[in-house]
Amino acid sequence: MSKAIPLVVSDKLTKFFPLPRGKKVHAVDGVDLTIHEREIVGLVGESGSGKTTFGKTLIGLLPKTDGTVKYRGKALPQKYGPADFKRQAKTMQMIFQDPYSSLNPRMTVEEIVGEGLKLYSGQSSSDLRDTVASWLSRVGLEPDYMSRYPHEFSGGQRQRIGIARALILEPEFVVCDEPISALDVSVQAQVVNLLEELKQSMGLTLLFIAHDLSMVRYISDRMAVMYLGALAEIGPAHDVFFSPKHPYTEILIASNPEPDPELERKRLSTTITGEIPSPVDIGAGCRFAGRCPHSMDRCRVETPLLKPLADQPDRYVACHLYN
Amino acid sequence: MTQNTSVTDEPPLLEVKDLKVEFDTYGGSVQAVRGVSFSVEEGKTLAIVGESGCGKSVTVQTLMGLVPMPPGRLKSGTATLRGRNILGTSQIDGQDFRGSEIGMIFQDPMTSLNPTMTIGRQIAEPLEVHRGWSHKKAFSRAIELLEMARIPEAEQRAKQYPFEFSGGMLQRAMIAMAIACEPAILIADEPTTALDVTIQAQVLDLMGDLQQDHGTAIILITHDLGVVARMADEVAVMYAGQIVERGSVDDIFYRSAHPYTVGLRAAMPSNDPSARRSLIPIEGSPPDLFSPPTGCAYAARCPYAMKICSTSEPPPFVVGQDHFGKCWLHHEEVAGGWEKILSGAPTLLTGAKMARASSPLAENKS
Repeated sequence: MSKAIPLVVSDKLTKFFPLPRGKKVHAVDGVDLTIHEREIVGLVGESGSGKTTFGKTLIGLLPKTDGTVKYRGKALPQKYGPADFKRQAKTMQMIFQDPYSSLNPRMTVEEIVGEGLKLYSGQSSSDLRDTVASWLSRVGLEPDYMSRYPHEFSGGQRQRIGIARALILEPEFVVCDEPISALDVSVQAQVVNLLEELKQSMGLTLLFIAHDLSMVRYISDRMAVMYLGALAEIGPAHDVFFSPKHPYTEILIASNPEPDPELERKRLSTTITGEIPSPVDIGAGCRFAGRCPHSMDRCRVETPLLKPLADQPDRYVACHLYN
Repeated sequence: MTQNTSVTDEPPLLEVKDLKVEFDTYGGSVQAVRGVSFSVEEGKTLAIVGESGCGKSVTVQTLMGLVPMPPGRLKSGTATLRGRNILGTSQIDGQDFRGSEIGMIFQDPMTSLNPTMTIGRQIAEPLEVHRGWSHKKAFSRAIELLEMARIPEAEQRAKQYPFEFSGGMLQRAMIAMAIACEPAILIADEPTTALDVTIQAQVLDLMGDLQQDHGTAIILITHDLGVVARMADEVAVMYAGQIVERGSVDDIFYRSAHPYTVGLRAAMPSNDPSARRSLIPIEGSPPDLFSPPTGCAYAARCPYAMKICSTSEPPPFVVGQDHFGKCWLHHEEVAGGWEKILSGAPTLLTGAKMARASSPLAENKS
């Protein structure tokens, strides 16, 4: 992180989904995030906080409502056309959450993994086959599995197929959308280790979206916490996890059960009341004010901005307690 | 073969012995549960832990008579509630015990409730069925139960339908329904898997408080070791249709007696701020239960496997009070023994792979 070069920069990235009668879902609302080269940024938050939408908007799978995304300093189009997809496919890719529904059941593994190459590389079909075979063995699958269909594989194997598909064009930046949450504990470790190894060997930059806080702390360099479409806090993963600043981060991490009975017996009840509010009617003020144990009058009128902490300039918190 | 290590005079609240369940399919019969024995005490929480497909849900669904037979088949086993049989029947002394003596909550609250009935009616139903209460009396009790489950504005909420509730609220409503008749046992099948951590904490707190107030025993099925550490008194670790280790929650976490338990822990990140260790996955995948292996079901994935492990099934070795592990490494003839291999924290956390290469046991014992 010494000479960090920004790779992907989102500036006030916004994605609204329209509803009838002029209302809209504020899925992602003005998110500023800089992801540096060869960095893993973990993105955590409750379901409905806009993590996946942010990831998809960032790499152009969804058109942006507002804001910009810059890749190596060059602004990307607001809405991708076929040529944009063709160009960006070689630089940005995505690994999806559900290994059961993200693979086409009527395509063989060879067709699934090789589709990107076929469309964008112009390799001959025999070269293509060799590349697919080498990628299958690289993600820990037998190259002989090429002619099989997705239903013949277990969840962990399918996720490996998804990883091979995303990485075969050798992108620089990959959005991993909950790549392990559908998998069993023992298999999760296999997939996480594979991702780490590929990150090392290919020099990948990852946005790792997950709700498993322990795993995000483990794999990420920096951790970003999202709440209701906006970032609440971002900083080095270790610091954010062990000394959270934003009241929401604090509660989120305190709710995370640790696999250690003694720690759990000492745990104070930190249960948060209420649930994540609707992202449709968002008023002024802090989004978390309604559930926050420390909320002040100011929180209900003035939206806090994501600002660096005075004593820790690499940590950013959007909370009036710190400004 | 009995796996029960505790000896008491009174019959335990719930005692399950040698439960075996198979499913007939076109491809042959799947041996989903292969000889499971456990007991549950009043006011305590037993966690059944294991990965998908290890038979934990089938075990409790069989107890509740929820496994359709056929294609399911009860091959052997007994289950008694305070000494009275509950297997193969839904009744004790002419009364349905399900809902009245054993309550159950399910993983997915969205699909487990009836979408065409109001929440209040669904909670009131068991009271009408089991206690013969009037519509009105049961409904007003349902409102109290919703309040107990910490649902705000319970009176209005009781008149709403499931689609008007969020996932966490539905799960709390389901708990209210399950405890309506004050059952002695609450079976919770992955109750928080579909929920966010903050909502999970709310639901777990609620279950813990209800247990304290009413002395309910809980059977908690989960694959999340964090939830186990938080909730359980006793833990049964299941693998390939069998309980491979059983002990108190501290036994399981601090004195593991089975390589599978050790492997599960090593595969999870630990949040010890001083330790930066890498994850050690369990290689391979669980065995095919159409034809389970003859020896130890875990042998193929076990870094400590010996010759005997693939030929004969290990018995439950008692390693402490109410603590057993089904692993040949506890056999007295095994040179080195379990302690030497797994007692040290460095081995437990980082040594699984290295031990495979250097273990003296690799060809030591036959």
